[in-house]
Amino acid sequence: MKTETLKKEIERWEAEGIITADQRERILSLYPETRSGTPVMVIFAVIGSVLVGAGIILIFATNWYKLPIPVKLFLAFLPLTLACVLGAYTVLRRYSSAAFREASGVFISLAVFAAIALVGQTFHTPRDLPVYILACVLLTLPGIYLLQAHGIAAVYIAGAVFAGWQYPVPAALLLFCAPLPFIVIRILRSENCPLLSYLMLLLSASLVNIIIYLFVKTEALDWELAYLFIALTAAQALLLLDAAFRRWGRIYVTNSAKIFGTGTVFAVLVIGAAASSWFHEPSAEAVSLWLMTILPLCLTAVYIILRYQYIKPSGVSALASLSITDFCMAVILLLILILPHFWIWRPSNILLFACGVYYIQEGSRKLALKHLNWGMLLVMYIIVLRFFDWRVSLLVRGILFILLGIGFLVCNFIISRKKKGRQS
Amino acid sequence: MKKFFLPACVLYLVILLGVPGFLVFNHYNILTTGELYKFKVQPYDPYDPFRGRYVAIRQPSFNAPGSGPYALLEKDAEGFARIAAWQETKPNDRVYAKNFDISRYYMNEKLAPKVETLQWEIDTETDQMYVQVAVKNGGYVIKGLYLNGTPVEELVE
Repeated sequence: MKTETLKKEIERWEAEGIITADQRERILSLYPETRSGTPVMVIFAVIGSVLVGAGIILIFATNWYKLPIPVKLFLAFLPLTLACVLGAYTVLRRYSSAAFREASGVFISLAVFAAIALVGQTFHTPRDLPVYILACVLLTLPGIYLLQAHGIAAVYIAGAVFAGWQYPVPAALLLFCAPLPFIVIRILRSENCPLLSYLMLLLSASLVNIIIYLFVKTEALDWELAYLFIALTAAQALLLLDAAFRRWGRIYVTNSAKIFGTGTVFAVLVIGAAASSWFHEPSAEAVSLWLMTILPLCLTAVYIILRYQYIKPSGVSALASLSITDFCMAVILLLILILPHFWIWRPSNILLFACGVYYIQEGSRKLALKHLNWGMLLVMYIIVLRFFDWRVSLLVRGILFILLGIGFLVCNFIISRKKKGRQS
Repeated sequence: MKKFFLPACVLYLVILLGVPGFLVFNHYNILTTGELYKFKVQPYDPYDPFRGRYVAIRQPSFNAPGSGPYALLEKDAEGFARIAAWQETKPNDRVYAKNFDISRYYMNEKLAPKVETLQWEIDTETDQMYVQVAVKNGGYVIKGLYLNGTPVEELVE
């Protein structure tokens, strides 16, 4: 409950004689006024900084070849200097404001990217993208701790995941460990914010990447598939983390972790369903794929055990269905290894369609529009995807579409009958 | 802990401005005081999302013998430079460039494709397209891309 709402409620309780004035003061003292700013302010500050930073990068990428070198360098240092001034002002005057800390953090990180890029461009530095990203993320790292901001951490970890894929394990490990204390402190403080989940998702991806590097010959990797494996495993690791916190820590900070994990699993399904010719068949010697398949399978199994050992869900809950989907997806990836010419898109389509139907059914049962729309969206996606699928004959597509249409109409009819029955 | 917070912040800001500042100083010093070398090149036109358009450069003499980070530079009778060899150890008595790579020449997004086109239109018998590089103490900075002594920016503008 927000502090303002709580205040109003407490005043009402006092007016109605439920609590005394003394009790009112004691309750209010538990929720001190903070100057951290509302989430909307923080979001606006971060989005504003991202837009300014991205705009600066784009303007500089235009390459103002007519400008003399000193002017180019002045322009390169201008946003960085402004970012430093904003950072200094935040530290000295507005450190208690989360909006200021977040905005200056994001601005500093993007200004670093812009400055290094323009210096490189001015002198035609041939360094590769990974070297450039690594240099920039290393410069943003101290800012995470000094400004205590999620935004700069998000930029760092995204860059670190990218750079980590390009460098050997020790470097990737160091990049992974560097922001860990910041995130652990956030979790221990029971902060619940979606950005924290994003950070943990990226960290999971980074960790999975390190595991793959440790146990796998990188040259044997089929990287197009590996991205799906990494995303799926990272999402499952996040869900597992969420379950572990709930089970042992009684901490529910990672509620948004569930959303991110779920979103990523669906993203994998959506990509898998659309994937066709650009996914090569994995080579026979790709031992790595076995590991990458077993990893999500094990994670999912542990997740299901942990999440449902002490909770007996009534019927099939949304999370249970997601666990089943996770499991099926991991099995599909395993099948890709075992069966020749087993393409990922066929089972992904079926799974995604099943999820869509499940959500529609859940939405109609609970009369929850959110679930209903989500389910409809998934089913519509499959329909659009397969409508333009030249691999399936027009006749088969036509019959399938008619059958599905009839199915939906029947569902609609049954639901409306049920609603009428309830109303009467 | 609080005692160190402000100095740490000041140090961070110094590093933030200092690292790009050092890069600038180093590159500018080489550009203004380094010895100039001309390398014959064949450009084409890719894209970098952060740093914009650049002309990628194929440099035939990069297939020189040997391996290692140090490129030994030499000039031919026409005054054009080439890599004589690559070696593992730092040379004492010859001009060299460490981790020598002149594969990128950043250009305006509208001009870069024109340079690639220009490259296909020139007469390879008579015209010379080359990159001029300033070299000093193993460091190097690209000064410009030229066709017969004229900067390509002027030709394609």
